[in-house]
Amino acid sequence: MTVPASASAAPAPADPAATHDSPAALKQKLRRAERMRKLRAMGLIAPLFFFLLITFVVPIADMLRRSVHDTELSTVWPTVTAAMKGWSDRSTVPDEATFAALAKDLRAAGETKTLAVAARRLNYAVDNGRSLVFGTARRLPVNATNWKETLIGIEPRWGQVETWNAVNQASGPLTSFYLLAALDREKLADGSIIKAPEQNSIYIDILERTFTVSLSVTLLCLVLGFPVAYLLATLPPKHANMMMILVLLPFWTSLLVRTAAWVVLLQEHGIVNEILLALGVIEQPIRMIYNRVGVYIAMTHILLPFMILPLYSVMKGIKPHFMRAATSLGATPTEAFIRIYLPMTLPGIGAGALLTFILALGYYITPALVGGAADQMISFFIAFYTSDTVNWGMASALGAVLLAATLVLYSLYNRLVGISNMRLG
Amino acid sequence: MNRAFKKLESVRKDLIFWKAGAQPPQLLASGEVVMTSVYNGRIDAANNKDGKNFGIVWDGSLFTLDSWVILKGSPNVDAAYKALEFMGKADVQAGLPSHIAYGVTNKDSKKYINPKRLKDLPTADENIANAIEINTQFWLENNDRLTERFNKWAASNG
Repeated sequence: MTVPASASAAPAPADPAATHDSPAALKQKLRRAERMRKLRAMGLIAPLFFFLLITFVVPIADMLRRSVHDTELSTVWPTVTAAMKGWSDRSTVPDEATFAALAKDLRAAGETKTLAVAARRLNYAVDNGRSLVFGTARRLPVNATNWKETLIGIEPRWGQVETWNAVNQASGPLTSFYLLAALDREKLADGSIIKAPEQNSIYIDILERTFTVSLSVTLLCLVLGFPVAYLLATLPPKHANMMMILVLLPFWTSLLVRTAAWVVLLQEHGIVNEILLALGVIEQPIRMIYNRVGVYIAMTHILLPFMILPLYSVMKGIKPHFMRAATSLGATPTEAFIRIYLPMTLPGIGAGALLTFILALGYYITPALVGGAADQMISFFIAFYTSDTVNWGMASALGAVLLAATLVLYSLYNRLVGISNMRLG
Repeated sequence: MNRAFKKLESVRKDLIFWKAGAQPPQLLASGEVVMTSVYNGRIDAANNKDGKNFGIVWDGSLFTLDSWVILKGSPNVDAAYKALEFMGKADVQAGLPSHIAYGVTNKDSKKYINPKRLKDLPTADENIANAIEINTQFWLENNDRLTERFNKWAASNG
């Protein structure tokens, strides 16, 4: 009796009598061996699995949660945020009980020194929200018979529906405020969604800009990388290895160093401009940095290896006699290239383009250093909200929008190219 | 604020924006710009260590004060106060400018500083005369919205 090939990795049965087992018992033994094998394989990938879970899945899930989960205000103002649930007539300000709750929370937050938290959260949605909160708290009387009148007397903005709409939207635990803001939208008290004021609606434009830059960089990488990969794949190994090192050397250099090097090269009195001036090609230095041109040049250079390497690995596998066969059957070199060679490199193009594009989407430091104020991509704003103003909700919402847009694009791409047709090497 | 944006608009074509404090001296040195906003310590370092000769216009300069914070419930509150007291002493503060050209908060410490060095500091009498303190309260209140507005401006027909 022979053991099926698939079980050959399992330990051989110790008992020689096993060879005389009935088919059913053998099948069971086989299944057990199979299970052991699977368990061992799982054990091997377990460290990676947990690593991914902790460093990838959990942070992304937490980011998505933060973009809709909003308890900042309700932890420091529990009474008024609870009272907001009873705000039914959205065309006028809430009732006396809600105002009394606000007064209570203002006092309590003043005592525990948490007013700043409430002020910061309201400031996201209300102009001068900080002075609204602190100004009211400072002049809050100990007792009042009519809190509604008293509070509006201190700060007329408490008499506006917009203010209460902001409190309501910040009451949590779930909010659409950040996600809508990341799409340049805001929600009115009556629940309708409108475009944000012109001077503050920037994120749709920035998302468009992010995708335009990434797409252009990907195309530039493809145009520049394809011939290089072809050369690498067809040169004799001695020269190809040398060239490969030239491709890989920048790949191993720090991204920051390469970006800084481009600043030196491209600046107004940099090497490139000086050479062009000396050769008489131009009369005035041309602006190649702190604008879109600089971003394209630097990002293309940095991302080029990610395009060349997958292309190279696919091209390496294409036998030269396909082309020879095509020409011997009467195809011109151009025809043979377009109809035979190019289709065979598609898996490499697919993989390289996707890799380059996705990496480009998240670029932050390169556009920040070689781009102008009009060339910053969405990561710049995510970084701004995370580290400059500590507005985690907004940072998360922008991240979530970027993630969603990327996934949509990826699925489109998958439909067009087919992930199974892709080869990374 | 509208006036500020109008002013920006009038010089839009000649502006370069920097992100890191190391950039302005580099931009000046390479001739990319003829004038820049900058941390004065960077200019001082460029002049003294890299042999540059950049000048500073102190008129209308912006300054801000840093703060020390003692954590609530810290087990070392007393030691922290002692450290603060030490750091507030005039003669101790006078030691700072020899390392970096930043100002001192104790007015008496000027007595201990070499007058030649004193003129490089933002807190020298003639330098601070027309300086403006950065209004932290204003920026806490308006940073997000003004950043959005600025970027809207920067992106339009740039």
